[in-house]
Amino acid sequence: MAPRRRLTTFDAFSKTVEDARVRTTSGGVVTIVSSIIICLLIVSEWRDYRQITNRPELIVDKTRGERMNINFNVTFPTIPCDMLTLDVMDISGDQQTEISHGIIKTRLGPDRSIISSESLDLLKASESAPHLDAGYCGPCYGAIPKEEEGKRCCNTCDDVRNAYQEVGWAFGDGTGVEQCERENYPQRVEAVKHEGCNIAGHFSVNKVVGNFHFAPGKSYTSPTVHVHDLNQYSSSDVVHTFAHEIHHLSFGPYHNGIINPLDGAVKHTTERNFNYMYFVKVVSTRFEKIGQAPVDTNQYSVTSHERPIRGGRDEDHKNTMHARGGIPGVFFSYDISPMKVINREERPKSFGSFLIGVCAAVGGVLAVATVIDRGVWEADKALSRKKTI
Amino acid sequence: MDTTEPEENGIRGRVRTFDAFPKVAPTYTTQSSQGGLVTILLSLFCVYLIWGELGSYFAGIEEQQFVVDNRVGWDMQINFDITVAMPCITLHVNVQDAAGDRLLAAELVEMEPTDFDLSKTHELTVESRSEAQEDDDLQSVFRRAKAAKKFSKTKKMHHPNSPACRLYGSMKVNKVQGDFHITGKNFAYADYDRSMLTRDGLNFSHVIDEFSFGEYYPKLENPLDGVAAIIDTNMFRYQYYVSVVPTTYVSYGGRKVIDTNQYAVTEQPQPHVNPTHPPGIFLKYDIEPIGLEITERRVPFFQFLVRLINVLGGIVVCTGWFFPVVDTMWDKYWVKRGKSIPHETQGLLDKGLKHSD
Repeated sequence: MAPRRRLTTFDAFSKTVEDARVRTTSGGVVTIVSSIIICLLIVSEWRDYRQITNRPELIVDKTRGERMNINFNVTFPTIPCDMLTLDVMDISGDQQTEISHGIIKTRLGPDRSIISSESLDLLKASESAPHLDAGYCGPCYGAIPKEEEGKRCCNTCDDVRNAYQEVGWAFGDGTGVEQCERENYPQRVEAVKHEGCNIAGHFSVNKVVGNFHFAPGKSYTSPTVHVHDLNQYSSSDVVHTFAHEIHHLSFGPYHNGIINPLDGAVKHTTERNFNYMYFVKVVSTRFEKIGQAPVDTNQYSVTSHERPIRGGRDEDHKNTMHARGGIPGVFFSYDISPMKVINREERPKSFGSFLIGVCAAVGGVLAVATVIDRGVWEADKALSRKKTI
Repeated sequence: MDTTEPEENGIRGRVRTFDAFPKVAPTYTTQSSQGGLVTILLSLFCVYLIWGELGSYFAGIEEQQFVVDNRVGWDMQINFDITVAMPCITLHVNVQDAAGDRLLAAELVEMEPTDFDLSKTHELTVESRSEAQEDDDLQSVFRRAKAAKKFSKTKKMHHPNSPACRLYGSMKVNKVQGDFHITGKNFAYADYDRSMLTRDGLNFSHVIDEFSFGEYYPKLENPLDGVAAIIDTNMFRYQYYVSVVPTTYVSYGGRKVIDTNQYAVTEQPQPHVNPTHPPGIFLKYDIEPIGLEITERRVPFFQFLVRLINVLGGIVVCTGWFFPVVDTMWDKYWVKRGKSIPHETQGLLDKGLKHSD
């Protein structure tokens, strides 16, 4: 056998001599139909190739010593800003009491109109007493430890309040306290008592179990207890309540793929001694979008709970017995999940696999069409043979 | 249609010029009995494969997603059916949770005397329900997830000398970490009814027939269903730690959605108890923030079509290639050695030109 002929044996694409080829109408129809199908399939392959799928992945969050920003915007319609404090504490022992940095309190009128908006740092500065003479040393009304007697002065109303707070005394509205009367503190308290407060901003916490709360009055913390001076809140002749509206609460940077469940939550109460509790579970989440820098942020799930301070049976669920005690306020207790969700956008198909898909579609359709075409042809032949017989 | 008809100028003729599939005029082709047999086998094989593909298309694929619940949670239902080997009058049921609430479960729980029946139960550590576990795919979940309001009736007591108490019911608890516990009267909570129970009477052997969270689906399997714990000492504290994972099953196209909870459990038997840890059965549960969403999905129809066509086309092409080779060999070496039509002129894909016997 000649080498060329031997090579011919391997020809997988044998050609039929033109004379032996038969063209039929049915063949033409099959060709056209299969071309259309091929086009459709190629289009669908292309769509499939361009499609972005979201592949969620769950990993154990191995980052350490991270901090987390908590962003919030809450309105309390019936508590004046002066009365409201924000404290943060966590399991590591870190405490941030009366947070003011990065937070803006906006005084709201009874009809929710904005009276004034102030960053809390500025408020502190304006409260100093520059008009007093240099030798002045105001009394602290016994609210300092014995050994500091005579060494420490309470020159401003705020100093007295702080001194009271340090020893854990209730302060009240400042009547009878010289410094406060000079600063018109009682009048101020009286003037703002119908106001509401919007408090917004952000603060940073350790990424461990913790809680932050909005509660009335200055807080006093010792290693064992954390108390708030409720005197002003509860003795006021105007009923202050912790009815609130959460405009926004999020953990970590903004990402539009996150739905924060508490955004827009509104709670009403007419009871002064009422406690709101939100149990928040924070889940670290990373968003990886095609063509964008990855964003590390947090999602959370939340369970809401409310109870009156006096405890007792729930009004709607008679079988639930609420605990007694605690202080009025809005508490957020957060817990960090050890798992991290990664939402990764990706194109599941590479260009190569798209090409393979196209080839497969074309080849497959043609192969099937060949069979159909032959089938039709053979059937047709058989029929016409019968006719001629 | 006659294949030998002359070229027409009508639509038929025009369409005919499109025919891209080479057909060889019958005068040039031959048919063999082997070829016929192969064609029949091939068709059967094709039908079989198409059947399989269709089956897997309609069965769908399960897709799992991790979701963090974006609704504000309030409460959650606990369903339980536990039989304790102690008389009902000596038992105390309670739920306490992280919110500081106490659910006076005794007011919600049905307590009925019954036998302490250990048939159909197993210990938690024994993997005796592998069949049930395997049967955990979406289809069977949808088949078995029939919500029920009522629990089955309590069996009549036959042996009055081995009294047991069946506690069952559904109740709403706060959706926070909590502790569901069954204790002896006067052993965990002060009770005025002091006469009831002595130390010797405490035997917290128990059978859990149902313990689930969310809506009550009696047929869905949970890890604690059918678990028994036999304790032979009194003053025993039996603790279960349960991690609840909210799970949503979504059928194809979202026609059926089942919102339920799965959980993982570990047990901790504690023989030594002290006043701060009273004896009893304690089920401590916590809710995981990351939920599971299992969705039934189907391959897009066009993709399915491509696959089907590929399978068919592949078979046809492969056979077209394979059959002549085998046929040639057969002819060459076994049947008509030396005296055969020259096969070398054939191409491999050319099954049209075959030699007949």
